[in-house]
Amino acid sequence: MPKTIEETVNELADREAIRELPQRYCDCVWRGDVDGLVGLFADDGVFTIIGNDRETTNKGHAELQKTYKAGLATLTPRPYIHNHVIELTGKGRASGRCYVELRDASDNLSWLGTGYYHDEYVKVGDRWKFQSRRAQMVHMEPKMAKGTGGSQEKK
Amino acid sequence: MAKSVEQLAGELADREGIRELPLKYCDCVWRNDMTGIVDLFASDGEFITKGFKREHRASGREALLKLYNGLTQGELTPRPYIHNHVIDLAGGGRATGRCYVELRNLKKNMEWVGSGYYEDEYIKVGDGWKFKSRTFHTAYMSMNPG
Repeated sequence: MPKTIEETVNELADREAIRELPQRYCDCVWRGDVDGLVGLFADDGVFTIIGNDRETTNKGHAELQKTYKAGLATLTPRPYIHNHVIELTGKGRASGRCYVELRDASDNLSWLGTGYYHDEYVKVGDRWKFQSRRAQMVHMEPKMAKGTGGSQEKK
Repeated sequence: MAKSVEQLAGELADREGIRELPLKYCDCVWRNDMTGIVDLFASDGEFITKGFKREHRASGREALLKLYNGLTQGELTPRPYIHNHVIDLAGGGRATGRCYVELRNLKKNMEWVGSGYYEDEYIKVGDGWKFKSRTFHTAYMSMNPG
Protein backbone atom coordinates (compact mmCIF):
# COMPACT_ATOMS: atom_id res chain seq x y z
CA MET A 1 0.00 0.00 0.00
CA PRO A 2 1.45 3.40 -0.89
CA LYS A 3 2.42 5.66 1.97
CA THR A 4 0.12 8.51 2.91
CA ILE A 5 1.31 12.09 2.55
CA GLU A 6 1.52 12.27 6.34
CA GLU A 7 3.73 9.15 6.53
CA THR A 8 5.94 10.43 3.72
CA VAL A 9 6.38 13.87 5.29
CA ASN A 10 7.15 12.33 8.69
CA GLU A 11 9.76 10.03 7.15
CA LEU A 12 11.35 12.95 5.32
CA ALA A 13 11.45 14.94 8.57
CA ASP A 14 13.06 11.98 10.36
CA ARG A 15 15.67 11.56 7.63
CA GLU A 16 16.44 15.29 7.63
CA ALA A 17 16.94 15.33 11.41
CA ILE A 18 19.13 12.20 11.27
CA ARG A 19 21.15 13.58 8.36
CA GLU A 20 22.01 16.60 10.45
CA LEU A 21 23.40 14.61 13.40
CA PRO A 22 26.83 13.79 11.86
CA GLN A 23 27.00 17.31 10.43
CA ARG A 24 26.42 18.82 13.87
CA TYR A 25 28.90 16.35 15.34
CA CYS A 26 31.57 17.71 12.96
CA ASP A 27 30.50 21.30 13.63
CA CYS A 28 30.90 20.71 17.39
CA VAL A 29 34.33 19.11 16.92
CA TRP A 30 35.51 22.07 14.83
CA ARG A 31 34.31 24.50 17.49
CA GLY A 32 35.57 22.45 20.45
CA ASP A 33 32.00 22.31 21.78
CA VAL A 34 32.18 19.23 24.02
CA ASP A 35 28.78 19.88 25.66
CA GLY A 36 27.23 20.16 22.20
CA LEU A 37 28.84 16.88 21.13
CA VAL A 38 27.67 14.98 24.17
CA GLY A 39 24.16 16.45 23.79
CA LEU A 40 23.88 14.73 20.40
CA PHE A 41 23.91 11.34 22.19
CA ALA A 42 21.06 9.69 24.09
CA ASP A 43 21.59 9.62 27.85
CA ASP A 44 22.94 6.06 27.58
CA GLY A 45 24.64 6.73 24.22
CA VAL A 46 27.79 4.84 23.33
CA PHE A 47 30.91 5.85 21.41
CA THR A 48 33.34 3.15 20.31
CA ILE A 49 36.64 3.30 18.46
CA ILE A 50 37.40 -0.04 16.79
CA GLY A 51 40.68 -1.30 15.39
CA ASN A 52 43.20 -4.08 14.99
CA ASP A 53 44.54 -4.18 18.43
CA ARG A 54 41.81 -2.80 20.62
CA GLU A 55 38.28 -1.48 20.94
CA THR A 56 37.58 1.42 23.26
CA THR A 57 34.01 2.10 24.38
CA ASN A 58 32.53 4.96 26.40
CA LYS A 59 28.92 4.94 27.55
CA GLY A 60 26.75 7.68 29.01
CA HIS A 61 27.18 11.44 29.10
CA ALA A 62 29.76 11.52 31.90
CA GLU A 63 32.15 9.14 30.14
CA LEU A 64 31.57 10.78 26.77
CA GLN A 65 32.27 14.21 28.23
CA LYS A 66 35.58 13.03 29.66
CA THR A 67 36.65 11.23 26.48
CA TYR A 68 35.78 14.02 24.07
CA LYS A 69 37.39 16.66 26.25
CA ALA A 70 40.64 14.69 26.36
CA GLY A 71 40.48 13.69 22.68
CA LEU A 72 39.92 17.20 21.37
CA ALA A 73 42.74 18.54 23.54
CA THR A 74 45.18 15.90 22.29
CA LEU A 75 44.48 15.78 18.59
CA THR A 76 42.70 19.04 17.55
CA PRO A 77 40.97 17.17 14.69
CA ARG A 78 39.01 18.99 12.00
CA PRO A 79 36.53 16.56 10.40
CA TYR A 80 34.71 16.61 7.06
CA ILE A 81 31.81 14.20 6.67
CA HIS A 82 30.79 12.38 3.48
CA ASN A 83 28.52 9.68 2.04
CA HIS A 84 25.88 9.47 4.75
CA VAL A 85 23.37 6.66 4.19
CA ILE A 86 20.35 6.20 6.46
CA GLU A 87 17.94 3.30 7.02
CA LEU A 88 14.78 3.98 9.00
CA THR A 89 13.86 0.84 10.90
CA GLY A 90 10.63 2.05 12.54
CA LYS A 91 9.53 2.72 16.11
CA GLY A 92 11.89 5.64 16.53
CA ARG A 93 14.98 3.73 15.48
CA ALA A 94 17.33 4.03 12.51
CA SER A 95 20.85 3.13 11.48
CA GLY A 96 23.39 4.64 9.13
CA ARG A 97 26.96 4.90 7.96
CA CYS A 98 29.01 7.94 7.06
CA TYR A 99 32.60 8.52 6.10
CA VAL A 100 35.02 11.04 7.53
CA GLU A 101 38.29 12.73 6.67
CA LEU A 102 40.28 14.36 9.43
CA ARG A 103 42.79 17.21 9.35
CA ASP A 104 44.92 18.60 12.16
CA ALA A 105 44.35 22.18 13.34
CA SER A 106 47.63 22.20 15.23
CA ASP A 107 49.67 21.40 12.09
CA ASN A 108 48.43 23.65 9.25
CA LEU A 109 45.44 21.38 8.73
CA SER A 110 47.64 18.52 7.58
CA TRP A 111 45.77 15.30 6.76
CA LEU A 112 45.31 13.00 9.78
CA GLY A 113 43.41 10.12 8.27
CA THR A 114 40.06 8.72 7.21
CA GLY A 115 37.51 6.15 8.29
CA TYR A 116 33.80 5.63 8.77
CA TYR A 117 31.14 5.58 11.45
CA HIS A 118 28.48 2.95 11.90
CA ASP A 119 25.67 4.73 13.70
CA GLU A 120 22.51 3.73 15.52
CA TYR A 121 19.95 6.53 15.96
CA VAL A 122 17.08 6.80 18.40
CA LYS A 123 14.20 9.28 18.64
CA VAL A 124 14.08 10.86 22.10
CA GLY A 125 10.92 12.97 22.44
CA ASP A 126 10.79 14.83 19.14
CA ARG A 127 14.56 14.80 18.58
CA TRP A 128 16.88 12.25 17.04
CA LYS A 129 20.07 11.30 18.90
CA PHE A 130 22.98 8.95 18.51
CA GLN A 131 22.28 5.73 20.37
CA SER A 132 25.74 4.58 19.37
CA ARG A 133 28.65 5.55 17.11
CA ARG A 134 31.29 3.01 16.15
CA ALA A 135 34.29 4.68 14.56
CA GLN A 136 36.44 2.49 12.33
CA MET A 137 39.61 4.16 11.15
CA VAL A 138 40.82 2.98 7.75
CA HIS A 139 44.05 4.95 7.66
CA MET A 140 45.74 7.14 10.25
CA GLU A 141 48.86 9.23 9.96
CA PRO A 142 51.37 8.45 12.75
CA LYS A 143 50.27 11.34 14.99
CA MET A 144 46.68 10.16 15.02
CA ALA A 145 47.58 6.50 15.40
CA LYS A 146 49.54 7.44 18.50
CA GLY A 147 46.68 9.55 19.88
CA THR A 148 44.09 6.79 19.44
CA GLY A 149 46.24 3.83 20.37
CA GLY A 150 46.78 2.69 16.79
CA SER A 151 43.27 1.43 16.16
CA GLN A 152 42.99 1.21 12.40
CA GLU A 153 41.35 -1.28 10.09
CA LYS A 154 43.31 -4.33 8.93
CA LYS A 155 44.62 -4.01 5.37
CA MET B 1 2.75 19.85 20.76
CA ALA B 2 3.64 17.83 17.69
CA LYS B 3 4.06 19.75 14.47
CA SER B 4 1.35 19.41 11.81
CA VAL B 5 2.11 17.89 8.42
CA GLU B 6 1.90 21.38 6.92
CA GLN B 7 4.44 22.74 9.42
CA LEU B 8 6.81 19.81 8.85
CA ALA B 9 6.53 20.13 5.06
CA GLY B 10 7.13 23.89 5.25
CA GLU B 11 10.23 23.40 7.41
CA LEU B 12 11.58 20.68 5.15
CA ALA B 13 11.13 22.91 2.10
CA ASP B 14 12.87 25.78 3.91
CA ARG B 15 15.77 23.57 4.95
CA GLU B 16 16.12 22.19 1.43
CA GLY B 17 16.10 25.71 -0.03
CA ILE B 18 18.77 26.81 2.45
CA ARG B 19 20.87 23.65 2.05
CA GLU B 20 21.16 24.34 -1.64
CA LEU B 21 22.58 27.86 -1.23
CA PRO B 22 26.17 26.89 -0.28
CA LEU B 23 26.07 24.10 -2.87
CA LYS B 24 25.05 26.51 -5.62
CA TYR B 25 27.67 28.95 -4.37
CA CYS B 26 30.41 26.33 -4.88
CA ASP B 27 28.93 25.34 -8.23
CA CYS B 28 29.05 28.98 -9.37
CA VAL B 29 32.67 29.35 -8.21
CA TRP B 30 33.65 26.22 -10.13
CA ARG B 31 31.95 27.54 -13.29
CA ASN B 32 33.29 31.11 -12.84
CA ASP B 33 29.66 32.31 -12.81
CA MET B 34 30.15 35.48 -10.80
CA THR B 35 26.70 36.91 -11.58
CA GLY B 36 25.25 33.60 -10.40
CA ILE B 37 27.08 33.95 -7.08
CA VAL B 38 25.80 37.48 -6.55
CA ASP B 39 22.24 36.35 -7.38
CA LEU B 40 22.42 34.02 -4.38
CA PHE B 41 22.62 37.08 -2.09
CA ALA B 42 19.79 39.42 -1.04
CA SER B 43 20.04 42.83 -2.70
CA ASP B 44 21.69 44.21 0.44
CA GLY B 45 23.61 41.00 1.09
CA GLU B 46 27.13 41.05 2.51
CA PHE B 47 30.26 38.95 2.19
CA ILE B 48 32.81 39.32 4.95
CA THR B 49 36.20 37.62 5.08
CA LYS B 50 37.95 37.23 8.41
CA GLY B 51 41.58 36.22 8.09
CA PHE B 52 44.19 36.18 10.81
CA LYS B 53 45.30 39.76 10.14
CA ARG B 54 42.50 41.60 8.36
CA GLU B 55 38.79 41.79 7.68
CA HIS B 56 37.21 42.70 4.37
CA ARG B 57 33.55 43.48 3.77
CA ALA B 58 31.59 43.78 0.51
CA SER B 59 27.97 44.93 0.76
CA GLY B 60 25.35 45.07 -1.99
CA ARG B 61 25.34 43.72 -5.54
CA GLU B 62 27.88 46.12 -7.05
CA ALA B 63 30.51 45.53 -4.38
CA LEU B 64 29.91 41.78 -4.42
CA LEU B 65 30.27 41.58 -8.20
CA LYS B 66 33.52 43.55 -8.01
CA LEU B 67 34.81 41.23 -5.30
CA TYR B 68 33.93 38.01 -7.10
CA ASN B 69 35.19 39.25 -10.47
CA GLY B 70 38.60 39.58 -8.81
CA LEU B 71 38.47 36.05 -7.45
CA THR B 72 40.57 34.40 -10.17
CA GLN B 73 43.00 37.23 -10.95
CA GLY B 74 45.80 36.18 -8.59
CA GLU B 75 47.77 32.96 -8.24
CA LEU B 76 44.74 31.18 -6.81
CA THR B 77 41.76 30.01 -8.85
CA PRO B 78 39.74 28.41 -6.06
CA ARG B 79 37.82 25.17 -6.47
CA PRO B 80 35.73 24.67 -3.32
CA TYR B 81 34.23 21.58 -1.69
CA ILE B 82 31.58 22.17 0.96
CA HIS B 83 31.00 20.02 4.04
CA ASN B 84 29.19 19.80 7.39
CA HIS B 85 26.33 22.22 6.77
CA VAL B 86 24.21 22.85 9.87
CA ILE B 87 21.06 24.98 9.73
CA ASP B 88 18.96 26.65 12.44
CA LEU B 89 15.59 27.98 11.34
CA ALA B 90 14.81 31.13 13.32
CA GLY B 91 11.26 31.77 12.05
CA GLY B 92 9.91 34.79 10.25
CA GLY B 93 11.83 33.95 7.08
CA ARG B 94 15.20 33.99 8.82
CA ALA B 95 17.78 31.31 9.51
CA THR B 96 21.43 30.87 10.35
CA GLY B 97 23.96 28.19 9.55
CA ARG B 98 27.57 27.14 9.34
CA CYS B 99 29.37 25.11 6.72
CA TYR B 100 32.96 24.11 6.17
CA VAL B 101 34.97 24.39 2.99
CA GLU B 102 38.15 22.95 1.54
CA LEU B 103 39.81 24.82 -1.31
CA ARG B 104 41.95 23.47 -4.12
CA ASN B 105 43.77 25.57 -6.70
CA LEU B 106 43.01 25.05 -10.39
CA LYS B 107 46.13 27.03 -11.31
CA LYS B 108 48.37 24.54 -9.46
CA ASN B 109 47.09 21.12 -10.46
CA MET B 110 44.29 21.26 -7.91
CA GLU B 111 46.75 21.44 -5.02
CA TRP B 112 45.00 21.59 -1.59
CA VAL B 113 45.41 25.18 -0.38
CA GLY B 114 43.37 25.44 2.78
CA SER B 115 40.16 25.28 4.71
CA GLY B 116 37.81 27.36 6.78
CA TYR B 117 34.16 27.87 7.49
CA TYR B 118 31.28 30.19 6.68
CA GLU B 119 28.94 31.70 9.25
CA ASP B 120 25.80 32.37 7.23
CA GLU B 121 22.63 34.33 7.72
CA TYR B 122 19.77 33.40 5.40
CA ILE B 123 16.66 35.34 4.50
CA LYS B 124 13.55 34.35 2.59
CA VAL B 125 12.92 36.69 -0.33
CA GLY B 126 9.61 35.89 -2.03
CA ASP B 127 9.50 32.09 -2.37
CA GLY B 128 13.27 31.57 -2.28
CA TRP B 129 16.08 31.74 0.24
CA LYS B 130 19.10 34.04 -0.16
CA PHE B 131 22.27 34.79 1.74
CA LYS B 132 21.73 37.81 3.98
CA SER B 133 25.39 37.59 4.89
CA ARG B 134 28.33 35.19 4.60
CA THR B 135 31.31 35.55 6.90
CA PHE B 136 34.31 33.46 5.93
CA HIS B 137 36.68 32.45 8.71
CA THR B 138 40.06 31.14 7.63
CA ALA B 139 41.29 28.06 9.50
CA TYR B 140 44.40 27.66 7.36
CA MET B 141 45.48 28.96 3.94
CA SER B 142 48.80 28.15 2.31
CA MET B 143 48.39 31.21 0.11
CA ASN B 144 46.50 34.49 0.14
CA PRO B 145 43.19 34.27 -1.78
CA GLY B 146 43.78 37.85 -2.94
